[in-house]
Amino acid sequence: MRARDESKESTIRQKAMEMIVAQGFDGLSMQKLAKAAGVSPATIYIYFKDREDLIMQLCKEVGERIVEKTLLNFDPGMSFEDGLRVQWKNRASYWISNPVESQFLEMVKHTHYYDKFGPQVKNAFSAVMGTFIGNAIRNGEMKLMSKEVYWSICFAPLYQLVKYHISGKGLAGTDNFVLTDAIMEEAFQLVLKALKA
Amino acid sequence: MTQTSTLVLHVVVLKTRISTEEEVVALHDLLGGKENILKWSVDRSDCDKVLRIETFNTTTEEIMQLLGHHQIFCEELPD
Repeated sequence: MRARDESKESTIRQKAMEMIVAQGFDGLSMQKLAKAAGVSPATIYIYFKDREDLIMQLCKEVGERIVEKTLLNFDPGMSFEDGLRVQWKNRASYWISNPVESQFLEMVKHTHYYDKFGPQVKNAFSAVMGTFIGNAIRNGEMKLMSKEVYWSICFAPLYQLVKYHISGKGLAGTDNFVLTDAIMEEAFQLVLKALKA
Repeated sequence: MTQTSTLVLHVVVLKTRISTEEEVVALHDLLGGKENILKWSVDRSDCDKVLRIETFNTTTEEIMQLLGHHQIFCEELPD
């Protein structure tokens, strides 16, 4: 009979995520994970029923964290420009500071795991963003458009810049690229212009 | 003075040879009705076919004895 140890559990979760990002979902086994985390397989089973349970718990944890980080200091009552700027900074900061976790999230989106935890993340965002976008349209700060077009214009430019930053290379891999505040603001102003009513 | 008893949840982790659906059903018949067993599962995808049991006030030895009595192989996984 064994007791729980939070630091061990945290190490197991971190190593599991690293293993999935490096080797894919099929690359994760409890035995390999035990070696990587420096614990016995028995210890892993204290916290997780099996591989599926472990991956689902990782998804839940990452899903909750991305909602929390993205909505940090954000209020749906903010003006469209101020609120969106907060979200841009939060999203860029999260993706740049958590490369393993963000890659894990991208991988999960294309699996059956996402079917279970994806709607929870979506609902958490929808509750807040629905009010924010509704206000922006009513106040004439944003034109009415389909959701996919809105998201593509609103966030895809940011994520592309973040990708350049993480790779350290700009367009066609030629130059060193750093996502500075000035570059982010340049893109942000163009996005605002494109969304404006 | 009155004495109060506390229910303590433990996780028992055992190596087994349970690999078929029929063996899992047999285990269900054995563990399903036990009051002290809250949850149990077998990871048949793992080479150790790990049986994981969440239990109140039941020792690893008692679980092993129960399984052994029903000719179900099990041994403790080393820490």
